[in-house]
Order: sequence, then structure tokens, then C-alpha cells
Amino acid sequence: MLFRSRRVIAAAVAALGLGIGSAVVASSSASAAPAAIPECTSANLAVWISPELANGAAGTIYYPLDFTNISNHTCYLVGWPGVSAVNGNIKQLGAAAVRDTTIPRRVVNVAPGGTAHATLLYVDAVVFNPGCGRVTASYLNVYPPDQRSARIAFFDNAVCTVKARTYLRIRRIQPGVG
Amino acid sequence: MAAFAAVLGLGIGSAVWASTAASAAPANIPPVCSTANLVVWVNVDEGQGAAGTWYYPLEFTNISNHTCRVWGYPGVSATDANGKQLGDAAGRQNIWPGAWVNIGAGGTAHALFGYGAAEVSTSGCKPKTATYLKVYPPNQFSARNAFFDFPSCTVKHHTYLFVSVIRPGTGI
Repeated sequence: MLFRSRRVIAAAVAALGLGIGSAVVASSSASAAPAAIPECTSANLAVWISPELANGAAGTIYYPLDFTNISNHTCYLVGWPGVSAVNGNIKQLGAAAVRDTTIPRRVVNVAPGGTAHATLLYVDAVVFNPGCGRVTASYLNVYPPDQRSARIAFFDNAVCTVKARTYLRIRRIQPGVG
Repeated sequence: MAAFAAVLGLGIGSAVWASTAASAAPANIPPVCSTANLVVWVNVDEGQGAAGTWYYPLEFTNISNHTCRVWGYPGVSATDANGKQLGDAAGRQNIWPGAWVNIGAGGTAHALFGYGAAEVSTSGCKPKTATYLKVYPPNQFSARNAFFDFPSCTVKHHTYLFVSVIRPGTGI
């Protein structure tokens, strides 16, 4: 059909959560160490942001920027993603997100079908100040940590086009949907 | 669906804790997912096109702390930033039969979501860029918004969105 056939496996394994790390054949020889968990590649992930999960405070709106593991194996994420807003032609709009150090570094394992998140701060106080060249974005362009290809997520907020205005801040990846 | 529910009903009678009061339902049949249990998103990076229509997984992520289950079609329409519906709601695509799908806490299920790019761009349906998809999970009376900014018809009687029943997994 229209989609690749891994989908059923992903659901079945998702219900098992993080079970992959535990050895299946405990009685066999000690030579079979559990496979090391690889870092998540861009191809392992779908990236998304929900307007319904926003929390606002004093000129800043906090969104979880979610990373869902669409592969059939557990992988890990650590640190900051690279985030910028783009238009419908994937042209960057204004400055990329600045790194925020509030959340400490943590290695986060993501099971197949599972989700981790990084908190994205959207500073509407900057966007709605005069002189930032405000336009409506189409997507976030997101580089997962240590990756050189990006994923896009729908993102319809107003953004700045003037490079000098910082209107996005990104925190390190944490477990869960957020 | 009624027949299926009846079968499930019989299952409840055979209690696991036969000696306790009949009030406790067995824990292995999860509750139906409420709208509050779910967040909905379009997996826009995983689109595939065919004959003027693009297909995406429309994802339902369980943000509650318990497993819940869904059955059937979500209700889907595109809206502007004020929540005003743009054109017709999505037509149902009868590709798969309905089935109960359990979604674990933090897990994700999907429906296939079709976007009729050719219909929008060539039919004279007066397109306008949408802001959201408004999605009613099956059998729910409140909706969730997902970001969605494709050109969308503003005139009725143009079916330009399609949706299937919900299936297990992220759809990739």
C-alpha cells in the first residue's frame, strides 16, 4: 500500500516499553552481551509540536518539541536539537533557536513507538514587538542531536525574519511526551 | 460493532477474581481513549504521493498514564486560525475494517490521512491556507487541534481530505 510495512511491528513493540534492553536468552553463554543502544538517527525519528500542549507565561510560550521513534529498535537521544522556523519552501526565517541550559544533560532511551521531548520556548513578546519582520511560519526545521539531516514539523506561529532577534530557545532532550 | 461489544461483554462475566464483588472490571480491557488522553499530530515528513493525493500518518499519542483503546474513524476537518472550518470535512476511506487498537501510555497509533492536492489546486474550490486540523477521536465529542498549513478548500462539495480508521503503530 502506501506505507512501508514496519508499522505493525512498531505498535506491538511500543506496548512492551523498554523491554528490549533486557536479555532474552539468559541461560546462554556470557559471550552474548546485550547489544549497545545506538544513537537515534534522523531517519529513526518523526518530529512534531502540538499547539494543544502549549503553556504560556509572561511573553513566552512553552511547547514540548516531540521526537517519536518510528524505527523498530530502541535508540538514544542526548543534548540539544538544532531548531529553526522555516517557510513553505524550507527557507529559514530569522535566527535559529538559542540553547538554554536549564535542563541538565541526560541520555534518554526511546523505545520503538515511544516519544521524548525538548522544551521549546517561543518568545511571543519578541515576535510581536515592532521591527522583527513578522511573518507566519510553515514548519520547524529540526536537526536531532548529532545529526546532519533535518526533520520538519508543522508550525504555524508568527515568527521574526530579522536575524538579530532571538525568539526561539531550546532546552535539552528529556524523557516522555512532555 | 454491536456484536463485537457483545462478545466483550461476555468476557467481563468471567471474572479473574471470582471471589470478589462483581463491581471491578478486569484490568486487561483498557478504557476507551478520551480526547483528553490524546494529542494529535500530522507526521508531515512521512508523506507519500499518488495520483494527485498525498498521504500522511495522522498520529494519536496517548499522553495519559494508562493504556486506552480506540475503534474506528476520527472526525477530521481543516480550520483557519479562528477555528472556522474550511470546506468539507474529511471523507472516510474504507481501506481497512475497524478494529480495537490499544495505545499504551506514551505510545502512538495512527490513521491514514489523505490530502487531495490536485482537487485543491485545480477544482476552483477557492483555497486558503489552513492553520489547524481539527480532529475528533472516535466516539468523542471534543476535538484536538494539530498544526496543519496546507492550502484548503473554502467552498463546500469538494472532498479534499480523507481519513481511514485508526491502526496500530506510527504508520511508518
